[in-house]
Amino acid sequence: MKLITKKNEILDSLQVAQFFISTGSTLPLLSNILFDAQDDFLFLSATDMDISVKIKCRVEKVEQAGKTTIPKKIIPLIKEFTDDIIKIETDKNDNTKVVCKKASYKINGLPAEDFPVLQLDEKKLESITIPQKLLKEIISKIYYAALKDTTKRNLNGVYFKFEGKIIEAVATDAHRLAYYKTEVKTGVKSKFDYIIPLKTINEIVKVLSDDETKEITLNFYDKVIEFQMENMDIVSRIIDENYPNYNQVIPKEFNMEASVNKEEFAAAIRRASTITSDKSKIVIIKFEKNKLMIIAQAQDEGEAFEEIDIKYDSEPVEVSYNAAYIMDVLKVIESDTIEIKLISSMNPGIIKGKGNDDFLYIVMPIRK
Amino acid sequence: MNDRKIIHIDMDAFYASVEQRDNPELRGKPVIVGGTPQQRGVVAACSYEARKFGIHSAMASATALRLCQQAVLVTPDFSKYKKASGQIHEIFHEYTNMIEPLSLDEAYLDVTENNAGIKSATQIAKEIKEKIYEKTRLTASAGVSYCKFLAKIASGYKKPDGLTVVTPEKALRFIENLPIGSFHGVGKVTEKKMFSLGIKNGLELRIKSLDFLEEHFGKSGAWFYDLARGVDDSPVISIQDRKSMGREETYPEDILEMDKIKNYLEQLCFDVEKDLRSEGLKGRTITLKIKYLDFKQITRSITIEKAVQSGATIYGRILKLLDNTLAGKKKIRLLGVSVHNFGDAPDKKGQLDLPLK
Repeated sequence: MKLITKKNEILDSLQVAQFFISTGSTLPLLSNILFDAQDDFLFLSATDMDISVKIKCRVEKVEQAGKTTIPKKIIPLIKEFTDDIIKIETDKNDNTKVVCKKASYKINGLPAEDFPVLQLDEKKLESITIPQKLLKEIISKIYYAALKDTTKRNLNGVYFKFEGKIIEAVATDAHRLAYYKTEVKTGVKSKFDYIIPLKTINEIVKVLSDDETKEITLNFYDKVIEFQMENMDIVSRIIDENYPNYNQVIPKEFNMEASVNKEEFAAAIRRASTITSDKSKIVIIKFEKNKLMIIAQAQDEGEAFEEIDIKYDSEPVEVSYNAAYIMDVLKVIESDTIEIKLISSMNPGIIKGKGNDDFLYIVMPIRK
Repeated sequence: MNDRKIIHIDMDAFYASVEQRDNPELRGKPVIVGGTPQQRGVVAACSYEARKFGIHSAMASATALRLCQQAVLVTPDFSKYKKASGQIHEIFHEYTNMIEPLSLDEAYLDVTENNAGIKSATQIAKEIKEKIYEKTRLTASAGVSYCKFLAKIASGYKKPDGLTVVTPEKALRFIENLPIGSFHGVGKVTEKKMFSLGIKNGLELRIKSLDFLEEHFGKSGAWFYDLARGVDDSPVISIQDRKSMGREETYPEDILEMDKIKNYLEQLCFDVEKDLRSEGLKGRTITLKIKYLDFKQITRSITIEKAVQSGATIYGRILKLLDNTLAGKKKIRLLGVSVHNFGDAPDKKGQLDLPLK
């Protein structure tokens, strides 16, 4: 392999590839990036065996097509070069020479033949193409609610269901649940549901564009899902387990309903949470006629009291929450006014933006 | 740091002595505390009478009973040992809070500064031994020195009911005659290597150069070099400062068979449980450590919400972590299991769960 490129042609792609390199792998090959040069394009691939990425970037010139794998230390190296012509040349022992002006580096690589690829050889079941912006919106609204550890494997991901033109997506850690539902122009013929690992979601959300015109195609396979974008192709394993029945925990009837200014509420919760101890961010929220009070106490540290005007006409109620769970959702709701709906101080409560039924957040209280 | 005063207290045949104390019929008899041969149990402790037959801890109970047919096998009752251990620790606390327990029956004490204002560590060791006997009717052996390494060796020097003092002046002479296997950090594998290099005791260790030891033992080389000269600055770390608890073992032969690896890991998990139990600790992060034959070392960890103590639960998690290693494909020389992050997830107190099904 022999090519000529400029720093800015490949640096971004290399940095994206770096997200996908496995950390702490026992296989040295997985710490490398696969370089595959052909027809003035360089294809970069990285994988941790659960998720893989292939990025296409145009380079100045490919003088000799070929493949090799290069350790990730090439990234900080290229980053430090000035924006001049960089020559990358690999010998038959997979040792790569990187030359920029008068600087010359040799990096020992490994053969490309052994580089593992996530197989797509099973039959493709179906595809759906949607705007990248929509997928980014769905993910951003819910993914923080997914379980961060692997104690319950099926919750350590985001659940997607595609049925006709309807897409539903859910994330939960069993204490709170975020739900998104939307309709797309062109749907799928049958029904697909997948739990996509949180790790994949975290990487995907980083590369999705806000540009209205850019699209992404999701290719459904039995055990993997492929995300195809203009210059990038991501393949991820799915979590092959059952997702809990989320519909059943979304309350349909309520005893209390409040209408609250989002910004005021968010600021008050943020302030009150400074008084809670790091470990238990408990805030007590009291609803009385047209007012909401937030009370927080931290032993030996102090007390917080906030009061804001709201619209509330039901029975007075007092309920405790983890402030972090409330702050999480207030960050993603765009409406100026939110609705809080409760059954009692011990049941799941709902928080949503007023006039927006696509997104729901269900949160469990803390027992007094 | 040679002006420190360290005491190592080691109870004599602890579990077996507790059993003999509580059951007069066992006194003067060879007593084995451990699992039954039917459970493929091992000897957790044995009385001095049993030791005469060559029985020692960690031996299979079946083997022990073959060596001494009249031995009495008693199932361990940890609540009793824990109670006695608690009483002993109360005595320690009368003198110092700088206590580093190694197990229920063994601890280091740093008495350089002590609550009783006694200058002589030997005097303190003597008082502790007497008080232990008064309160529990059990005997302890004590070692007194200026560092942990020598204090521990001293406590084992005269057993049972011994008290050995190694002063800085006597230290070098004392070390010269120590068999190499008794040096801290010299396990079976290292011992074999030492032998092959012609090092059988402290004197032979001392005549080797630092370069030589580093060449053969890597980072541990400097440690051995210091020990041979009576230099050990490692501090007594009290439980309050303890961040994790774990066990690891370097195996005399390199292991490839999954069955064997799993057996060893299960044993380590139960040892960790024993340690956690003795301190009343539970942890949320479980770590598996593997050193392969080529000395490449890896760790795999998982953090869970609910703190655990049970060896079976820890083992369950370890097995999952094991999937993510080259165990079974690449030979292994060392396995380790540790637990840290003590206490339940602090932010989950009272937090209700969604009724997900």
